[in-house]
Amino acid sequence: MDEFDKLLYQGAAQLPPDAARPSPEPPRPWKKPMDRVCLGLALITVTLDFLYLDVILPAVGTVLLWLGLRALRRENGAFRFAYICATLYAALRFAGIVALATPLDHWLAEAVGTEWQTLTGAVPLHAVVRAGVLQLLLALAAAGLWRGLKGVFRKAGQPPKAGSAGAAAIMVFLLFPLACVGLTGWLLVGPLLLIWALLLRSLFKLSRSLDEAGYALSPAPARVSDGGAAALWLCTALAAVIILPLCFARLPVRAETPVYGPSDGQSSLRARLTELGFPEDLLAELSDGDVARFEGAYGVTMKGYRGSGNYPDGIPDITLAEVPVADETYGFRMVYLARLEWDCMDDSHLHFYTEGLRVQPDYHGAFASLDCMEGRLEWEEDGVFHTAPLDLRVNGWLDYTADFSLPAHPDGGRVTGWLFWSGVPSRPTVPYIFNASITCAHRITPWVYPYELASDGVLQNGPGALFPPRNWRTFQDVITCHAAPEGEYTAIG
Amino acid sequence: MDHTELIQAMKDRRSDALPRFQTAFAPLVKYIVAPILPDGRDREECLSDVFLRAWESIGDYDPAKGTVTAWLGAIARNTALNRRRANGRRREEGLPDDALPAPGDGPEEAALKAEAVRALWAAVDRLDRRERDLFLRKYYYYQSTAQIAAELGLSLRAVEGKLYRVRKRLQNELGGVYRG
Repeated sequence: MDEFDKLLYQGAAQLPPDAARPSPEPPRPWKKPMDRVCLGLALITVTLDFLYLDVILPAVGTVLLWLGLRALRRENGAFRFAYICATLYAALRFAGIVALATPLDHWLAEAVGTEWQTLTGAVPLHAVVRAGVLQLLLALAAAGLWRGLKGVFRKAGQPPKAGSAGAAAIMVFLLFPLACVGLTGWLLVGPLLLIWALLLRSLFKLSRSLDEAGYALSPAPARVSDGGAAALWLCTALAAVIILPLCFARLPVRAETPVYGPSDGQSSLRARLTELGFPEDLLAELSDGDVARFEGAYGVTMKGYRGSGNYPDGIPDITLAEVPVADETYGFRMVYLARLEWDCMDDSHLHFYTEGLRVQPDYHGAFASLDCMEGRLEWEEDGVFHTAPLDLRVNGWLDYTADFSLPAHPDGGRVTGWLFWSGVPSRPTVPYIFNASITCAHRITPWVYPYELASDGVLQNGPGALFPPRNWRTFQDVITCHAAPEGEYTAIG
Repeated sequence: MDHTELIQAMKDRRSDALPRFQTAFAPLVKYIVAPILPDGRDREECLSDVFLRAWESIGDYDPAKGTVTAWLGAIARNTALNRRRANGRRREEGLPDDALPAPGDGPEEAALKAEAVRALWAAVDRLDRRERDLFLRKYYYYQSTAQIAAELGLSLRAVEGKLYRVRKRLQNELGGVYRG
């Protein structure tokens, strides 16, 4: 202690001889931690789906809750328990924020496979489990807070007034089944708003309940300042949110170099298809295996072949071949071939990140079932021919989607996609006109948060949607098809 | 019973008022007294003194001039400081020997000290809210750096750094008044 310190103590020992000056308000040791806990709990429960507030507010709330309970952790065992819950909650929340910046959730959804039916639709089971665990940890932290506050009142020799904390714990716990039910949107907004208002009221009362007993509380020392800890948590999360979507802007391309056996010619089938109107140049691109799908063909209708090519940037030119083939079991089957051609010119400003495809082969019940839905990409790179399978996932009855990225450096910037499907007619003797569609999506921004694939709803809501997707360009080709037995088939559309 | 009713009961000299008052405000008094009086027995005796003084001077309490916690806090702090000076243990604890106003100052010295005190508090008023809070905790309530750090959620180094800046600023503002 130096001379100036002594002078400061001496000067501060008495208030100035000024009668109007009030005594300074004593510091309130509980105020900062409790304010943080209450504000944290309030922010965590807020869900505002704009300007990323649905991510930012709960993230800030999580940090505040953790910081508040960190200061209280040495006071008693219940606070320590609440602090542990808040730490686990923060870790899980952080992992969730990071996971949302990657396709991890999509991969997990595919791996787990099971979905949970909520009021607003099916949700991947792992997402429900994660939300449930988060809510449970939050409720346990609130319960720990409640018990901890009771301990503070006991220590202060005062009757416990922690009822509001108990109410807050119950409110948070009530949000747990609501999270499992999938209460999003405005479906049950009344009860939710009521619970939320009661929760905020409890939290407000909670921060005031310690007015006298709070002086018995001794915040725990910290090696790292609250600001430093909060900055570390939030900056790491922000860095993950900014960087990771860029790292996963493209999906891995599973390139293969196929080795085809010697061609058996299939000259008669190829000649027959040419005779029916199948373009020779297109036929020449097909392998023997592809051509074999058209065995028994009695008609060919080409759609989009050498068309205007007036597709939006990033959307492939689409050519469709409709080929009815005779079938011993069902009378006939309809075989479809779609050729998609992307022009990824290296010198253009068009960048290719992820693409999406949706195939809906039948809108009108023309098919009893589909017996095939396959796809692949083909391109040449440094003169070597490559293929990559298109993983078409079933989303419902005759509804298929695929998410993929095009190869980075195809020769000439050209990538060709092939889709094959064939269906068994629901009424083998009756001609049937129906619609099918191919929807393409092309992501136009490298950074999207939360990470989004075209199958996440872009393809479903893309063309003609009231709110078109911001980060995607979409195009839908609706095709009129004709299923008819031999002798009655005519080209339509 | 809220504060207003409790104060009124104290003013009315109701028999149950003081125990209630003690139950309500004992944590506050302990909190203020603890950093000033490190010895537990001193603190206990001081606690009784504080409530006795509060009981005796409750009539002087004017809600318009401040909250009951500020009023009682001032009583607690002054009582604790008086006890510190009286028991003569400040030197042993390494705390400021000359920090407290010495009794028996002459009129000229008292006027100079009053001027110095006025200048100090004027400078403190010009600090921003956080700096003023730090100053009060350190020099008015005698809180240790560790206690300040824990209550403000700061590391010891951060508190020391902030206190250093507060002292520098006050030193610049006070100029010759506090150069000793």
